[in-house]
Amino acid sequence: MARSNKPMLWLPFAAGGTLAAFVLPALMLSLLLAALGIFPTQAVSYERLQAFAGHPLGKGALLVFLLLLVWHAAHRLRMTLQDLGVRRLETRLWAARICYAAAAAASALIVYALWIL
Amino acid sequence: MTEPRMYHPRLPLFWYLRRPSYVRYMLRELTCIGIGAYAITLAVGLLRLAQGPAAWQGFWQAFSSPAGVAFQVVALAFTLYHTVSWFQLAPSTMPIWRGETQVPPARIRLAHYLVFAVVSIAILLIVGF
Repeated sequence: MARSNKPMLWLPFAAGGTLAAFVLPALMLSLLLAALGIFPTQAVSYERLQAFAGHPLGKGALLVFLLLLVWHAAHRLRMTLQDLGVRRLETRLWAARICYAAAAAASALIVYALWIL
Repeated sequence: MTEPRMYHPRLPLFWYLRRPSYVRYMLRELTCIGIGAYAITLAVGLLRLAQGPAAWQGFWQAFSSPAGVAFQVVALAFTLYHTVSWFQLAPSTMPIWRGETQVPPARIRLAHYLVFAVVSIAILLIVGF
């Protein structure tokens, strides 16, 4: 059988999709409730979030979580663009490059933010 | 030798509007836009947090503005659709076998929703209190 590098993409796709399915809705709802003032503002105070994101464990969790979300979304968007009409080999290649370049840029942003935090 | 002729299926541009199941498929795939946009927003928030209290305050003000809240609501809707469709497919993407019999799909989905409920309540409690 021909060797394929596809599992390299499937793993982050599946892991990101699973994390997004289980964790993201409650996280979004929590931040939404805080933004609406239903949760106390102290829940998202600078000190509290800095303490969480600045802790090595929080840092690691954020790194893995955000990177997987970004690469999940980029891979799915690339595949969906084909369904939306990007079918020629050349344009498909460009769609893939743009999606993964965006994911790489977002990854750099995440790593940088956690680095200086 | 003649050139190999490739098969090029011709699909109308809006083929996915033809059947409800195609529409659901396309909606499921497009949830990645909501998830990606929200993840990038979180990344920007993280950067602003790293830049200090004033920067964080500015981010939070924009995040909780009417436009920010509207964005959050839309992103949440996308993500909930992702959750439901992800769990719906779970029995196909990771079927579980017990000996010769397959665990019923309904039971696999139920297990996913139970874990989802526990995780969600835990996150809401941790953030809110």
